[in-house]
Amino acid sequence: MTAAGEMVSARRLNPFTLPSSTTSRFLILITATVACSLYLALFLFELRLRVAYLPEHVRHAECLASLRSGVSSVEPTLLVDQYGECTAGVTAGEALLPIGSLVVPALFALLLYAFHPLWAFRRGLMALAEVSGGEAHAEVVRKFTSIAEEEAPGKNVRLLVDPGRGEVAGRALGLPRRHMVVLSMGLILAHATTPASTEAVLRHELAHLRNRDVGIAHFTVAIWWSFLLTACVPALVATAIWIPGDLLAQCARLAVMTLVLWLARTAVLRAREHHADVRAGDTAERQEAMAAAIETASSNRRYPGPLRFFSSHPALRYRLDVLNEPGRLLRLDQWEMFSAGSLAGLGFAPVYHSYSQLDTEGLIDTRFFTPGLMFGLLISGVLVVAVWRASIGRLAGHGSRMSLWWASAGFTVGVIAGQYAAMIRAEVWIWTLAFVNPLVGLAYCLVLLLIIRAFLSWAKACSAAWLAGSTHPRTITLAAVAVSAVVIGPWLGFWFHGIATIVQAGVTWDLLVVTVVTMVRYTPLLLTIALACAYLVAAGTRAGPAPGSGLRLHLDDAAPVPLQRLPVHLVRASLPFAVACCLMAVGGFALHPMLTAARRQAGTGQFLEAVYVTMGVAVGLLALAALAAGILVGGRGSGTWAVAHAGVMLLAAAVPMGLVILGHVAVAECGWERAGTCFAQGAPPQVTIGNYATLTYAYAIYPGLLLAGCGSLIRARRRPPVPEPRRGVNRPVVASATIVITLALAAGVYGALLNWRLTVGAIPTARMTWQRAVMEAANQPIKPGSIPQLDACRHALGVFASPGVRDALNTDQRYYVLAAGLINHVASSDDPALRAMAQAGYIWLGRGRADMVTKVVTRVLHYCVLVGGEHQVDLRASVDPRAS
Amino acid sequence: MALESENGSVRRLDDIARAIVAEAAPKEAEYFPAIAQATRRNPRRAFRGGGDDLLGFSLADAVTLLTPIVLTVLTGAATNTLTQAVERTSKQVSKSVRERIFPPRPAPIADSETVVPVLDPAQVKETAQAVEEIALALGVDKATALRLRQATFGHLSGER
Repeated sequence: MTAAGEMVSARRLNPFTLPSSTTSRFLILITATVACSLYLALFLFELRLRVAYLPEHVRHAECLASLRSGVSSVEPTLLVDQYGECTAGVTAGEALLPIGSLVVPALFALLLYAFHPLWAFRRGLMALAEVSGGEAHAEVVRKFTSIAEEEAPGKNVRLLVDPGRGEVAGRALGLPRRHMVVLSMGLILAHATTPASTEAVLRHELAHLRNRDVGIAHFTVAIWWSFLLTACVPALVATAIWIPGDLLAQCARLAVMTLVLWLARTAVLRAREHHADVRAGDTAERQEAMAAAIETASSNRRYPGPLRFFSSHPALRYRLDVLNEPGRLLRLDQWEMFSAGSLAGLGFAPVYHSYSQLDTEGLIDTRFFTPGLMFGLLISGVLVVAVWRASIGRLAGHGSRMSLWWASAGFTVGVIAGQYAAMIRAEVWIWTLAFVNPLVGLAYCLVLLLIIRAFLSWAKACSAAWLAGSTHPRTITLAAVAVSAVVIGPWLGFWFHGIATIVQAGVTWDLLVVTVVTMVRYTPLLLTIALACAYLVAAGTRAGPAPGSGLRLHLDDAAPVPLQRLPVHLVRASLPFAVACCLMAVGGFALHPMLTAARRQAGTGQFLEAVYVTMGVAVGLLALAALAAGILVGGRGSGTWAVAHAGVMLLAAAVPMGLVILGHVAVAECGWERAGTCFAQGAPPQVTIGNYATLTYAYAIYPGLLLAGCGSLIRARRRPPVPEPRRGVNRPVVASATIVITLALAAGVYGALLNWRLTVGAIPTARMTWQRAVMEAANQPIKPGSIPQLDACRHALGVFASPGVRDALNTDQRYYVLAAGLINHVASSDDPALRAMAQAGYIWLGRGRADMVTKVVTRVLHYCVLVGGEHQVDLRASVDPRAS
Repeated sequence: MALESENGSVRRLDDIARAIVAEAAPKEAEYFPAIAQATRRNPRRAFRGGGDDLLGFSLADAVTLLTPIVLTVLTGAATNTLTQAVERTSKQVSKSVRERIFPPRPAPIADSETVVPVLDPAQVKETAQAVEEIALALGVDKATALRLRQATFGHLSGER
């Protein structure tokens, strides 16, 4: 799939084949700036509560107050819904106020952006043609107009002159569709003596317009100033007035924020300058003129040494290096990753916090999904585009200089560093973990590192598969960014959500394991794996490119390079899975005696155990099918390709396999005659089948993917058909390959065994005893008034700290024990609302309504956070006038 | 000081300035009206370089515009404030940190219709020297500065 040619290394790579990642970096910078403004708005809001002591959200929530004081009149089963209605106003108000306070900075930024051309016009700019009527000037106008039409066709660029400026300079600015290039009078005068350099300056500015830098760069600057004036200054003034003791810390925090945002801004602007240089010097002749202009650029001496990081222009050496070797712009840069990570870390917590306050129904999924998708889109725009761009060098035969580990590490460290500057709430702050237990914090950061590393590997595989034979690489890249956002967003959101889970319940190793296992087994996240596999495989299903077409991988008017498309092997990969389903359909009859016998032991849980055994057998067959698919599809350099095929086929096979399992269960449970009627077991068939299919897929996906990779490795060991010239045995390579293959096989076996233990081995010990524990916990007498209100909340949250590692493998059953424990704790509270919620919890536990139990638990946690967290206010003041 | 020259004509500021610039830098004279207008609008910018412009590109080899120098000095000569004008302009071009952070007010530029009085030889010499001095301080090469001085002297003394 590589482009041939021994001479390729001498040619300059084309950095404009794919969109630049800097647009996304600008967007993430804007988001981070907005998030920092949000952070400061929340700070001011909290300060106002503290200083004025106005529990406004309580006053506005009379419903909540009445709920607390007169809960005896509320039907317990309706309580959770009433609580939702009560808190809607409170939490929405709490969330909307800071969001509303963002309107001012946003408007200010828009005003700054809209009026930036007027600021320039203040200097008395004149149209190029109107500056003079002389013959020599007419020649300058003709020349510059033709360059503008050549470099920015259809953009209708206005060429203006700043007559009071003697420097030989140019500048691009303007609003959409009203772009302009302002040339200094010095440049007009210098054109007669140094036409090449002055034209290079003009081409550079036009390149900025062609690269679409103008709007987003000026808006980023506008929003930065807006942040400084409408958020930083009020926060500092408020701190100085009301909490002067915190002024130093606040100053330090704001300084870090401002510095991070400034450095990120200048880094992106420097990248844009490089792109404009290369665009302006896209032929050999122009490259020479551009190099000459760069060598005499005034920015070379303006910021010496390390101060260069504060400049929006790169250093002379880097500019010339990139101009002569534009492939540098395609390399993965860990600093770029660090910058993206720090902005994501800076911005996620305020957005997550505000959104979770706005989400009054307490749906955990959407709480982390929505901010996760938002930031997923932003970081995909940086990470995926960067990886895809790095692939260009590999496709062009320049070799791969991608260090995905360094890139992942850069991003992860960036997230952690960015979080440090914006501690909006301790429970969504990774540093809380680090401070309480550094090793747990480090381990959780490693989880993010692994997630990002896997994501980048997938992005790299996608780039190779999708770019080969594509005729619209920019469109394909943007589509990939959208898909990647859906893939990585939920994981990123869940990772942040996991911080909240661990911090709220207790920073322990056990809880860390439970959180991570919950993450990797969580169905929506599993579906993102399926999406990732399907997107990769879909690259091979496209029609082949037209003869003669290809990617323009090189500058200097080089011909397009045709790339070979990867063949898709869906039929070949589906065969083992079809065989696995057929085997299960036939062989499942052997399990009927077990299922029938278990059915007779009603109420003991043995039937459920037998169903899990049946499912385990199916999962084992699917895992073997994945191994076979890996052998059939994989080979040298096709490991990811084989794994993707297996992932797609696993999802496709999960539905018929779920159907087969359900069929066997129905026949064993009800007999052939009544199998049809009890097939769906009372629920709609699609729900039941979906449930079985999802469970099967969830258990089979990890061992399946692992075994597919192993299968590919097995095939890769086969001797290639064309014998290679013998160059002696490379012992380190052979030893490394042997170790890797052995480890992979061992991991595959371990994965299969683990899966077996998950589905089968764990069940006999459970024996449905959870029902008894739950009911015992639920039936314990209430001890009214024994625990103070806030302690009750602390205990309630602390209940979740109790699970052990073993519970990670048994979360479904353990959850109800935890829920019962929590409900029992809050039942002892002296807070009437908590006691009422406990009553509701008992009722729903007794009725076995898992959904309602979950709802009660969520509401209790929400209530505890609301009244006992950092927003703590004296709720009694609103209920009992004497207390105030 | 007489307002009319020996031949009875009134000498306006811009006319003299344009003639001087045309002699010292003929190409710049073509753009004299535009440069003069911009200088009157913001005299400070005429003597101070630009910063790190967003999406900008400037070369180190700047062209020093002669029009602002001539206008500034002629204004000083016309309003009898030559010393102050030179002093203020010198501060404008100063590279000291203090002057950069707190730049002094620039010397104002008189209206284009301002009449330049007839100067005595000593004043003419002083004005021509001031032009050269400022030009050199702004980085104009010696030959051009000398040409500028000679042109100023010639036009103010009525030799041309």
